[in-house]
Amino acid sequence: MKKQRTNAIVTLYHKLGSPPSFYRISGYFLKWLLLITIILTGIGLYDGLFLAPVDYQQGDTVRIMYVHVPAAWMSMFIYAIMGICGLIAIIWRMKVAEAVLLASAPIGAWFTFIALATGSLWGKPMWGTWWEWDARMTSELILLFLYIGIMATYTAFSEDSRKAARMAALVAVVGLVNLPIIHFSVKWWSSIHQGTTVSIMGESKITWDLLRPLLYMAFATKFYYGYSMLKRARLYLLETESQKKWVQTVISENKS
Amino acid sequence: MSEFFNMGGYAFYVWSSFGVFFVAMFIDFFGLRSKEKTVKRQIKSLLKRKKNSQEL
Repeated sequence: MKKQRTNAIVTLYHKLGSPPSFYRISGYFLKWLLLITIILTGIGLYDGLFLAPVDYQQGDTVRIMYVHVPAAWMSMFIYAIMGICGLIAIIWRMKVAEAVLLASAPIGAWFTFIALATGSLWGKPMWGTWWEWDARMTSELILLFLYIGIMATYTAFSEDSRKAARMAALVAVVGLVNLPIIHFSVKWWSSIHQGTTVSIMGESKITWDLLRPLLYMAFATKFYYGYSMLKRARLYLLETESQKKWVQTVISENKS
Repeated sequence: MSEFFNMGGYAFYVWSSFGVFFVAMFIDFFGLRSKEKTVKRQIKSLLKRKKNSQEL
């Protein structure tokens, strides 16, 4: 007889791969993700609007950073997750990966929209222009179109949700090439946009008083993404598996 | 306090930015809640129809 080797991580992977377990496990997290989001946003807003000093060059417009930068980071972070899920969905046909991919698209599109809109509102007073067709802005706009394209692809094939999800995954994977372009755009081309200021590996070129609120807001947006994505993925699984027994059990018990 | 709202003369740009951020988040949040209601209602009526057709 073959010896069964059980590894906690492997078990978790298999569990999360099955829609009913994913639905049940993610259900425990929702409330906490939302609570942490609210707390971090509260602290971040107070810190960013009241405590953070004004920039000697940019004045109070520097506070726009606290919504602009977290949103821009999330726009890329979420897309990277979608690209990975896209690969898993195409190679292993894992349904939960399809759910996470499609559930990430709306919130990712919102963050991209916020990054573009607040960038515009920051650019007008600082650079004297709402919009410039330069590499950073153009590639971020393409990212927004990618998000919209992924959602549109899924809708276009809606008669077969599995096929639709795989087509959307394909668009997501192809669009991954845009991520390094966005990141390095300020280096590769001469850009109106400033270069990288905050760095995980290297030293950040920003004082702690200005950085601290940014970190609060960056984590707040990460937790909100967790909430929004998990909740949407759960609804996606309920919808696409509505014929299955576990959905009937969940609905008849009427547990959230 | 009015100094705070004035944002060093950049009130429009700063507050619009925060406005865009929170409006977008609230649309996502409340849109998700109403979607949850719709999906659960749909599945409930689907189950009811199934049950009724089995009884007939």
